[in-house]
Amino acid sequence: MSVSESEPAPDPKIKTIEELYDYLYKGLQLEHATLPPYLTALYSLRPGTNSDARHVIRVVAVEEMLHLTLVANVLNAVGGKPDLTKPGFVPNYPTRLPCGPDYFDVHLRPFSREALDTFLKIEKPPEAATEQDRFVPMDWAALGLTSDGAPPPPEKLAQLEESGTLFGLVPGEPSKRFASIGEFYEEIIRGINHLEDQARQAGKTIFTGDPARQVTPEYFYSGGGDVIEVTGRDSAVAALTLVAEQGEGLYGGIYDSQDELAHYYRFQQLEKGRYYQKGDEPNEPSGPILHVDWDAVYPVKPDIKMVDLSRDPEILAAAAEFNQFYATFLTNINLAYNGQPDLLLKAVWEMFRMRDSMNRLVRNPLTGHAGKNAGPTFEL
Amino acid sequence: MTQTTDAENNLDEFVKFSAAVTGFSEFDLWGTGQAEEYYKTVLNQEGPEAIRKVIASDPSAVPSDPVVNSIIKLWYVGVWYGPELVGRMDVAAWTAPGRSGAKPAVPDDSRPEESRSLLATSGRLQDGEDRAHGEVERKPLFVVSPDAYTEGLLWRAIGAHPSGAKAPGYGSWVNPPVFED
Repeated sequence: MSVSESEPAPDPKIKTIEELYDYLYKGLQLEHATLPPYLTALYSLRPGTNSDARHVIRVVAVEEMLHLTLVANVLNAVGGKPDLTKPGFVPNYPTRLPCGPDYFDVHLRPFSREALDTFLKIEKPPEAATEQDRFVPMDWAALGLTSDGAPPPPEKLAQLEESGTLFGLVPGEPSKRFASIGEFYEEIIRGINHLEDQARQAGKTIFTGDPARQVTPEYFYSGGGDVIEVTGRDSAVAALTLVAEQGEGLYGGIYDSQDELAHYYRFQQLEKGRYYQKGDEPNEPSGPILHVDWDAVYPVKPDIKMVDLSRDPEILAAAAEFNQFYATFLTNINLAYNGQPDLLLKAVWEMFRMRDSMNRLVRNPLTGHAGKNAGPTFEL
Repeated sequence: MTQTTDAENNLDEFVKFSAAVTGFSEFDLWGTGQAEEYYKTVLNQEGPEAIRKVIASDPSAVPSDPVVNSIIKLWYVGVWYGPELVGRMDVAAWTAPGRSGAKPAVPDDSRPEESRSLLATSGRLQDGEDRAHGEVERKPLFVVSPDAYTEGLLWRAIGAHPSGAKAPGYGSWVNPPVFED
């Protein structure tokens, strides 16, 4: 993704501050939506095995948490209010993400070649796009959402736009979608530049948010890159650029500006059985061999729902408790993003407890689903 | 649905019995990820007849069969103590060597000659070993696996975490232990 400085963008989609809030909410929803699939795969790895895969998925998941925080910082900086507790914020899996000409399904499933393939698609660097093909006509029929390919009726459309089951739509233009997530973030950066230029002409700024609402580095420890405090245009663009390039790499390279290997190439190491090292070209890792044991995985039932657990009351109770705990956890994160950043430190403890709960779930065999295990359903 | 095999049935029965004698739920026992390994350990060490007898017994029986005590201890600490060692309070496999830093926690005379290495052996079969009881050397004391240590029920029972594993997060030590129901 190329990041335009403040040069005027051709007809930005974002023309009001409310539209910018909508886009940034979508960004929060999107960054979070990658976590349940990554965590399900991560905790499906059998203990004592697959240390390479465990490490790779864990690093990516932690960086997605950084992205969530960065988007929240941008939204707070422009005077918006993050809300991770809205109905529909957590997708009912599978959800759909755009990747070039196609949509693809993102499932909750155990670590496998198919899961890895999905992860690669999630993080795939976009093709160099011309101005026109940053957008793709929306094929509603292909998604099975309408029969004639036209957008669904307004009520249904509003529901789809609010739920996390479909990402990449151009808000307010149901006949179009973004070609990739990178282009979605590019549009946000253009919107910020456009609105800030306008504001400055009137002697104002859009960066009116209370600085106390920023999550600053003392509240965020992870090793997943540095959290950026957003106070104006430059730091907003830097934060959003980091979100995009940590996934895909910077300017076609395999590293981002903080010298971290981009997610796409981290995952590719598992596919190719080899680590990248400094100086490598994309798609040609030449570092140490790594080993993936595809069979050392708990067979978590894909896209598992509470209804699948009806014959196992103990598992059902544990899964319900996990979902309840997760809802509370999101509420706490939301408070942290709304003026109480110190709550993030406590949230880390909650994350470790959720890790233990997820581990217990995936190790439990299901009754009536031969050879399948339970897992967190993330139904909130 | 495929037919459940005898082996799966036996494992299920083992977990069910273990839940009754440990006080943890079947869900929690499966949740350790150690069920198969523990079942195999008991099978290898005591034989199919002993395990069948134990599972068929009354879990509330007092005093319990020494093998039952071994099974309870196995789930709590992840260490197999053969029935002849299970009551010994001075035997702590994973704290060896003892406080002095030199003295092994398990006196040498408490173990047969051939199993002197304290921590190196596991319940897992080595290359060339046969699973059938009688052909596997009995090992009255060993840590079943590295994960068995971190999955011991004792940590949850006391509301703590195994030192060096399952980190609960920076600063979480300001909180009192969380006890579960």
